[in-house]
Amino acid sequence: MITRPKLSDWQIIGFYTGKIIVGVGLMMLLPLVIGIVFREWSAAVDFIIGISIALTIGHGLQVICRKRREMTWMPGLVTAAFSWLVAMVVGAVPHYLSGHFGSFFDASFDLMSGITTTGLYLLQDLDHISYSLNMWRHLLTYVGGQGIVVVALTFLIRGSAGAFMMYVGEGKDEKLLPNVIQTARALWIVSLTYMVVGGVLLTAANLYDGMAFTRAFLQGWWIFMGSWSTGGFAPQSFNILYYHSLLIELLTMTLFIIGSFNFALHWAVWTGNRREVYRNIEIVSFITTLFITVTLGSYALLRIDAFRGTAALFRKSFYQIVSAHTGTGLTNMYPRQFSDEWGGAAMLAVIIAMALGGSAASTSGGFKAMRVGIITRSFMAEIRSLTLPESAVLVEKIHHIKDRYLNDKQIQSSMMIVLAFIFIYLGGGVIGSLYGYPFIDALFESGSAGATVGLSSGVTSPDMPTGLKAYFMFVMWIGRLEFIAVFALIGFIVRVGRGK
Amino acid sequence: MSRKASKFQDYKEHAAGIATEVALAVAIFGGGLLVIIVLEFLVD
Repeated sequence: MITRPKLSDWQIIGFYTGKIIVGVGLMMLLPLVIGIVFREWSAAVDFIIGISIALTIGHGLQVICRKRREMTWMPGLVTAAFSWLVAMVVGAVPHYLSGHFGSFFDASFDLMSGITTTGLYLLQDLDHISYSLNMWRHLLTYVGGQGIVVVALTFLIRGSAGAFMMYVGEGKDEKLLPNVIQTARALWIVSLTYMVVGGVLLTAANLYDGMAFTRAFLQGWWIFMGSWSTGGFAPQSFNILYYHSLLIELLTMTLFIIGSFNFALHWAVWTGNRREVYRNIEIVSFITTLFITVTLGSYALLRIDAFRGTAALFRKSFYQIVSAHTGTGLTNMYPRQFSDEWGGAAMLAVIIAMALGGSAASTSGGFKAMRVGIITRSFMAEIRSLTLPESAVLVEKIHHIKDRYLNDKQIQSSMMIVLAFIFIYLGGGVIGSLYGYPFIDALFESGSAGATVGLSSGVTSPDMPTGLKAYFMFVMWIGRLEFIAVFALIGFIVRVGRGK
Repeated sequence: MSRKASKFQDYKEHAAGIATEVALAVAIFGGGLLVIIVLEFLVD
């Protein structure tokens, strides 16, 4: 229950939000360095302004709200939700100053899309933005995949007993190691190792395809960030289609499949428990639903003869559906190709794949394979119980790192979150229809935003109505944080409003 | 085990972990290719 906020609650929320905003400011140092190295003076000034604002607000909040007690459950959740909003506004400053956005609101849209690893964007003239702005976009999506709270836990917050509350509030509730700070560092070990391996391979692939070294290097790392974080941003407006390279498609697909795995699974496999990959409920669930959606989508495309030949169908159908199911949003098709060529049935397969999503405690969104697995198991147990005597007690087990017994609370909570996701997907479909978009296109875009995917049927553009932009920003945020932290923030605001 | 040997053991485990995950990803798109080939055969 959320009780009336006390002064100390405000102080804790302000203090930790300040820490996180300082983290956002420090992140801007990397694009600033890129701007200086490549003599992009105007962009460098944008980042100096952004850093100044972030450090002023961040340190200001820490001074004003100096904490006098440890964090508890409710302020932890509220901080997680609130800090993402403040990070969106502060991080949008260099975006807006770049002159590539129609308004600060549009710049904030791209920020929210970046940190939630969605990949939808309103930026104009993407092919001609500075290296530093491109670095900022991709860095945001890479760090957002880890979680901005995880960044703060790793580098800025030491030994806080309440840190786990913020970590949970950010949609990750698995401890890889006994201590949450060590857990945050373990997440970074996995991500940074893949960054080195993936970045080198993608740079080599770009060089092989004839790109000059500097571009090959930068674009290689940016594509890595867009793939691994399941973010979907790419440095060119044609996304992965720009490269026309099977090698890059295979490399990015490998990275976003692995990126959509649960960090607890990574850590188990990385510490010797390799059998986990075929026993884990999330992997079993993910592979099953992936092949169902690939079969549905590919069959629908074959029926309308959309692509000729196995290779074309594999590169278009499989790539798009895996990208959707892992919550990535990278694409090797033209922006409006879904609406113009795929047909309703194939689009529906992509919508289902987007809605399902990747693993819990990963960088992807959607229902999550864990919940799909739990609901399927409980459904099957319910059917099995019909064939058993009334007095029989049925115990259902799932395997995730270790064997776990399913209980009613887990099933109920999984169903509630899945229902909430369905509600926000359909809500966007209805709102989009009211604005005059075809329902299937609006549902596609809403599913893409709510499940933080980033594939587009062409609805998202700078001309999109402001109400729809705001709705998509809201569902990206609430979908990424998986509702609980946002509900806590809303409850907190209501309590403040009521004064009790 | 010395600290250096223990670190080396950790790196070996991590490398084997990466190889396992990459093998799984490759198996997934191998399976996808197979599904598409079978579907093409059935629809034709």
